[in-house]
Amino acid sequence: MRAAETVGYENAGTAEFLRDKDGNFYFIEINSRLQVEHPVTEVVTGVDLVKLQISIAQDNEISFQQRDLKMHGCAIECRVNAEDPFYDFAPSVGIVGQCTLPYGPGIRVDSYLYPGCSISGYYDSLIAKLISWGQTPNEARLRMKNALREFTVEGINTTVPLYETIMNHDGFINGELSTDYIDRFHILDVMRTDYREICKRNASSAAAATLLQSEFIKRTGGDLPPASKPDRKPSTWKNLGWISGGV
Amino acid sequence: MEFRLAETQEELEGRVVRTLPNGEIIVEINGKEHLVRLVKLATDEIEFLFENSFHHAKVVRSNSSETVMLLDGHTFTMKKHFKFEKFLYKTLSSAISAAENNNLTSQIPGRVVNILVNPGNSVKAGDSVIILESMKMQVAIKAHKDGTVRDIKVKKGTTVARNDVVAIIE
Repeated sequence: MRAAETVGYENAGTAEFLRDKDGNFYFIEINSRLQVEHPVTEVVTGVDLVKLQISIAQDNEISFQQRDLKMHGCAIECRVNAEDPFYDFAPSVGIVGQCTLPYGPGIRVDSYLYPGCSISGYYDSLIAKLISWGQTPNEARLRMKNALREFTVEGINTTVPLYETIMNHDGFINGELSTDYIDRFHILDVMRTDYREICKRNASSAAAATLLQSEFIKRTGGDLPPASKPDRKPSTWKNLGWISGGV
Repeated sequence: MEFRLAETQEELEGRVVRTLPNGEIIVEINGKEHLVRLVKLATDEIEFLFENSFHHAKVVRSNSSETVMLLDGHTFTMKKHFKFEKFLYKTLSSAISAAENNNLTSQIPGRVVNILVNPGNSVKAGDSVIILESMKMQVAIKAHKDGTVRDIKVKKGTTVARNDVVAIIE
């Protein structure tokens, strides 16, 4: 706050600090804008930071004080990137086929994904912000876990499998977090093992699906139109959390 | 029908046994019979109950040699006729595969921002050869084997597509 006052900065901003293993804080930088994780603040405080930012820029007074803010529950955000976590996080570009964005109580998705949209290499890889809210950290985690399972995008690779592994990981559940979390717990190896397990468990179902599909092609000659066409009207913004579950 | 699940290298054998009067289907997989009830069936999408648990499969790509599907959101690659393919690879002349083996290809599309080697340089497997930029990230294309760089197929500033040959390493 003092830093912002010193430079006469008045709007939404982010101050970043690093904490070392001895608990000392080191200042990194101040960003004069919202950061990618601002929805976490929004869902636990109920304040629309984007709206507020614009309002401040229009010279309006902020209608509340710091002490008026009530923290309500816990939130987790996963930034879903078009990268392949199984292949060194290589960028994954292409045309999205079908996609399913999760929704329901305590779930918010900020994304421009829609069936048929193009993920281009000219922009950064962020394709969706998935935010879950719960009364407790564990409720937020469980909701995130379910939301990640429902989150499907065809045509590109995403970092969703990594987050699924993290949401199930004891280190994360126990809050043993730090900047070396991924390396310390060999999370990428755990993710690979998790994925092989899923494949093993569902091998019979996948074989059945392949059988049924080839049987179907045989019978119909494959002339029937595909079940879905990627030309549905895009839903450009989803903010379902605000209308459900008190988020 | 024989399959190999590429993700686990597991081999599976399956067949449709019969359709019951109520529309349910008995399939046999690795000698065990399973009850399948179809909810939805189209050329590229199947929804079904397998032993009473619901699955959604979207076929991403299917041809005579493999079916790639998203089963409940996870990628499964089912290799078909893999035994025949194994046989084919063995009998193919080694010359063809050796020539292809010299090609260093890009796994991702992107713009060439740097070329780290010149023709004639020797490289070790894993050495960075070319730096691509995509999605504001720089990604190295690494040598796939030890050898000598014979040719660089791209120039700084050009864009490459997935699977483009970017260099020849002999």
